[in-house]
Amino acid sequence: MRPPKASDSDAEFRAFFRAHLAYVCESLRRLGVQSRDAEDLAHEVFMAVHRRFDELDRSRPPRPWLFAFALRLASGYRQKARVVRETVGIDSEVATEQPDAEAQLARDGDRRTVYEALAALPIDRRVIFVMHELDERPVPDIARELEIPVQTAYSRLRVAKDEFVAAVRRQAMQQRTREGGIHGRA
Amino acid sequence: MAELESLPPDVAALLSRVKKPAPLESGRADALESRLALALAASHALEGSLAAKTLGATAFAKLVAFLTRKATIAIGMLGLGIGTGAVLHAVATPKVSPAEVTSEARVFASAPRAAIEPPVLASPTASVSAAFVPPATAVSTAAPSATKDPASSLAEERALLEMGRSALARGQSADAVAAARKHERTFPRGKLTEEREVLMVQALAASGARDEAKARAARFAQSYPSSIFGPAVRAAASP
Repeated sequence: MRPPKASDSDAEFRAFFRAHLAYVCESLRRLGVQSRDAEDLAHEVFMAVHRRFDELDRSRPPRPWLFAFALRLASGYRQKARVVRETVGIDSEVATEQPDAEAQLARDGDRRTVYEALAALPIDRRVIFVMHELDERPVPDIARELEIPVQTAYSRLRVAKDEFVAAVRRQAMQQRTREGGIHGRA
Repeated sequence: MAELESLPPDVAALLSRVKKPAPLESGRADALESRLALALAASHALEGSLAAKTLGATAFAKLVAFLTRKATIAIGMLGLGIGTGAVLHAVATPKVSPAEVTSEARVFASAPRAAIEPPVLASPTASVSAAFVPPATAVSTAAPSATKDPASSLAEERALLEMGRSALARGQSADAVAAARKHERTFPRGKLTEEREVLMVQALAASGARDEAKARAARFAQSYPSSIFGPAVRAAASP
């Protein structure tokens, strides 16, 4: 951990931002941030990253470090979102999805499926699932970072996998029912 | 080591298709980069000695020189940054009581290098907004040339640009262009002309009007050769 030279630091931060913006946005989406809010949150993530930039350990991969920022901001976001839902009376995350999401759906059905299935997981299991299955981090590392016993991490992950698969199957079934309702009886 | 059952092949395939982060829509990274630059400039300017530490002495000195040279514009610019910042702040600030701290909060606290103090987001933004929510006094002394009440017209200017910026941030580039054009019509010699042109170039580029974006970027470079927004404008207008 050496402080970067002042003259280099701005350019380096910009390059870092450019290189990792997509990853940060993606992580936020996986953690339950709506697409219309992802860029706002990413902005906040990088504001926080900038404040800590001299703590970046360049000998390690940057994604786990960034993920921790995304996790923290997403956590605050979800609490805020819950308040909004309760006050405004919107009762599901899907219902708050932006109107043009349907166009997005056709283009990016896989991601949509994954975000929806992830949303079905309680947050503590979702985090482990995302870290392991999508970011491919070893379970012992995850356990260390979450400060939980390795066995606990494994058992959470096992449950999370079952829940995720079940959520994907449920979506596929609902999809078939919807299509059946429109086309099935012709 | 405990072995995990593998996922069903179709689910594993689904996950492998989304492992790579989704690419951002074109122009979004540029827009976010300038927004970030703006917000950072705003917070550095107000954090004073703290900024000198984090930004580096030379960059900070340059920024201070710029701000003193263009006090009026700087105030407007800060206003813009803060407007956005305050909104985001409201969305992003975690309101966690100790009892509610979840495992994810602990992840963060224990992340290898991420020594995070909980109110880290709140404090700079909050102090910034507190200092600049009533900009009228600072502005009225700095801008004696306006015809009507300078404070209120600057507030109008800022509101228009803020509208445009947030439209652009939402990806509604046509609305952003409309806001910038309205600013141009209403305040042809406004105090936030420089900021307006930054927004205009970014919004035009995002809406696909590349020729006008380029032309305006070229004019911007002539009118404001030493603007701190120079790189952002060039980036927005380059193909």
